[in-house]
Amino acid sequence: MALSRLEGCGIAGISVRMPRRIQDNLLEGPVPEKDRAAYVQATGIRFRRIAEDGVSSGDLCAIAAESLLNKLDWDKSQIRVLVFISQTPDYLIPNTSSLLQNRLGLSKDCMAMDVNLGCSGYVYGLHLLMSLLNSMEPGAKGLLLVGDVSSRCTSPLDKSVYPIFSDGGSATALMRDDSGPSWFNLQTDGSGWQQIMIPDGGMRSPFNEASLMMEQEGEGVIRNRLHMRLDGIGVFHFAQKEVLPNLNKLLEFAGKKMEDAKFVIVHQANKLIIENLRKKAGVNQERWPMILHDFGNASSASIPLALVKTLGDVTEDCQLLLSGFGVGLSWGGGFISLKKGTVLDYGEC
Amino acid sequence: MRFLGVHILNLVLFIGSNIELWETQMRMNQDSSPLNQADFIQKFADCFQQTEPAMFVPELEFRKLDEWGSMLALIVIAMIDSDYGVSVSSADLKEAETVGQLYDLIARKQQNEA
Repeated sequence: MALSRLEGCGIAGISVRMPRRIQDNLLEGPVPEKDRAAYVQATGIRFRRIAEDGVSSGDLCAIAAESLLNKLDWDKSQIRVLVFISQTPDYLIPNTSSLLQNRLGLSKDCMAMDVNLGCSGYVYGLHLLMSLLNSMEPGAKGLLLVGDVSSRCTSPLDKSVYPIFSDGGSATALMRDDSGPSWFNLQTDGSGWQQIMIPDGGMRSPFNEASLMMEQEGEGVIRNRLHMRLDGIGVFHFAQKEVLPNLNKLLEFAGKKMEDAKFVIVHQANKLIIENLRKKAGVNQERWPMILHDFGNASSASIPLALVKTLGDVTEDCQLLLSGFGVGLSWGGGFISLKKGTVLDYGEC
Repeated sequence: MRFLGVHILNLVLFIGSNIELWETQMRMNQDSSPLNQADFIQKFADCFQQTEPAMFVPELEFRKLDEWGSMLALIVIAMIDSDYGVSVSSADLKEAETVGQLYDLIARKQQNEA
């Protein structure tokens, strides 16, 4: 278990930007018309957000970051770290974080890096930012930018993947300060690397003529080799097997109980996965948010999105239990605190 | 006294007719539902929206239903995980042709995992 405790770094604010463009799973998409109502009921996903053509993960994260920095009134020259986490970067080369450092007008005295993680990325990112800031001078600031445009790499003719995902971007501002501890439990099982994957377009199997050939791989599943595959049943079992033991170990390590968390915010994968987890955890629906109906699965941005939409404002200090899980396979839990007045910001673009 | 006697007789008959099932029930995870074929078939039927409830009998070859597909497979697997505490893979599911065979598979798995 990669258990860790980090102290002296707090979250100043979280901002999320979702595209305005909405797709309704009841009215359109690859699920046959007669099956749509049942699909929405089972997955919990009705409306999804799709970025306009030409809008990237970097764009959504940058707009979220601009808004957040404005609200915080931060001196940009004090931002020492920028981490961008996505599986849908703006370019294969260079790293999107460099583009974002420049676009946001940050100082050259700012380390910037990309991390390739999906639905576990937000929890991993908080841990990474806190670790890095802890090695710097008091007052050092950092930005965690997490988002994806999954619609770019899913086939509109694939009912097993396309009707699940939304595009979205987030920005979280962290600062080295006198904050109390946060705890993390981060895990990996690479034996499941094929459960969520895109076969072509990387350097092992670079883009080629065959990459664009649309093939029928099952009923209602037509896609090419640049489109994402997702083994729904495999991912379901992975989540049921690993998520709660991860969180229980984390809580034990932190000396906390599930009830200590005001909310348990898990990656918004689909209703079948998160409702089964909730029932096993014995947590009521009020403390286990589900925002799938209106936003679908926003991949790496789903946890900050669910957090901002659920909390609205932070009117008192509170503790949250977070859980991200998915592609890799990679998963992680975090027990974090938000101080009264932490800026939470949501917008559409 | 006669009332108690009937109950004892019922219990003996129940144990005698299906001791394996009784043992399975005793060993089951406390969160899981008691394993009972009629209950299982009801829960299985509840996963479907377009198929006539009367069609759900142990002999039903569920994969031949118009409504069956990858999403229903996931819904059924989620129901089995949630209500019976048993993990059924895609390969496991393919082993069962009928609803009755799926029920037997869950009973075996519950026994193995106990």
